[in-house]
Amino acid sequence: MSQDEILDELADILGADRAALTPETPLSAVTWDSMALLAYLAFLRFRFGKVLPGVSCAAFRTVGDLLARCAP
Amino acid sequence: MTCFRGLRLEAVSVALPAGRVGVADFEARYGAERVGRLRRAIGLGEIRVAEAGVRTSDLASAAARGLDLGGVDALLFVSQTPDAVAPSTAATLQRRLGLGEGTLALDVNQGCAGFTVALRLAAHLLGHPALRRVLILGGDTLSRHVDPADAATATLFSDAGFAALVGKGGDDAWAFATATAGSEAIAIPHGGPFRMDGTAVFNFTISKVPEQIQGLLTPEVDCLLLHQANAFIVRQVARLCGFGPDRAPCDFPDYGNASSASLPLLLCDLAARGWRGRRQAVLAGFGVGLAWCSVRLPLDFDAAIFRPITEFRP
Repeated sequence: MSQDEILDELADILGADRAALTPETPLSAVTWDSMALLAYLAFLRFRFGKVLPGVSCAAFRTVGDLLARCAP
Repeated sequence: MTCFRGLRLEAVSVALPAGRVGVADFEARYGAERVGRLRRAIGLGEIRVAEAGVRTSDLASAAARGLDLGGVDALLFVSQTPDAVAPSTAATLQRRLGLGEGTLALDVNQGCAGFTVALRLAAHLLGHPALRRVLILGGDTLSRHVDPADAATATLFSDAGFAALVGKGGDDAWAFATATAGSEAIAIPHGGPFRMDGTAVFNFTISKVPEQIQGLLTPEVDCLLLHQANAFIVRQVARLCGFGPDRAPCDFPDYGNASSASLPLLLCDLAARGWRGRRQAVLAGFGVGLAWCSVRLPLDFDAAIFRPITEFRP
């Protein structure tokens, strides 16, 4: 998946305007709550076969932090 | 996966109570900020609420009005809110609808997975040559059971009734995957209000449901019709299965979560919005139990199977 495609998916998970979403966007500016975290973790598991045990919302500060984990 | 052949979905119809509760009403009750958050988070819109005294069977029998019930040998009534603990609502509906004494009539205690579970039960029953057609009735009146002070559940569910007829004929294949994981994460205790552990249910939904759906997907599947739990869940499950909103439609903002009537309502709504042609679909129901049941089957939107939605007035 390209970074652009991943950002499309993250915009959906974060309820954010895709055009305004960049790796620098702080997660405090979007909907980053327990539901979004679970949706993000499911995305990682289904698309990249990756499991992140025991993480909380506080472990991520920016969209770039989310992007960084989006790899097999 | 469990496969069946020679089944035909003959009719699907839905009755909704006329009472509408929408964003303005919710704002008056819970405040604009709370409601604004729910609109952004889950797509909160409008729900339907039955008038006092209206029972689930009233909505379900209204949905059955106008259907040809000849040859119905079994009646399944799917609900978490039957008219009474006993007798079964199926028994009272057998008489109300004028079905013969020889009808097998039973209640199925299911919520949001109820429509697909009942389709599977109908498929099993129709495997016997003595049974000709199965009438599935169901729905819920959850507005009686939610705690009005709990905005998260009191804004979510629509009261609704549905009817579906399953018969024999054709050589279409239906493939089911069904699962249950005993859990009280969604519950209506005796005397207590409806309660739901939203985070646990969401976590279950976005892991187990896409896995089950993926097991049924073939290249021919061109639409994914999901129980309308809420708009966020629909989008997430669809995305994880590789379906965009055009092929995994969402009507939650228009109707809320109609429990077991949600999938029949989506089918009738899509037909009313102009969906046509033959489709290979996966239908997925998931909810209280926790239970999740999906089916791959062909749907003919040209055959007038999916009836216009009727409005119920007592």
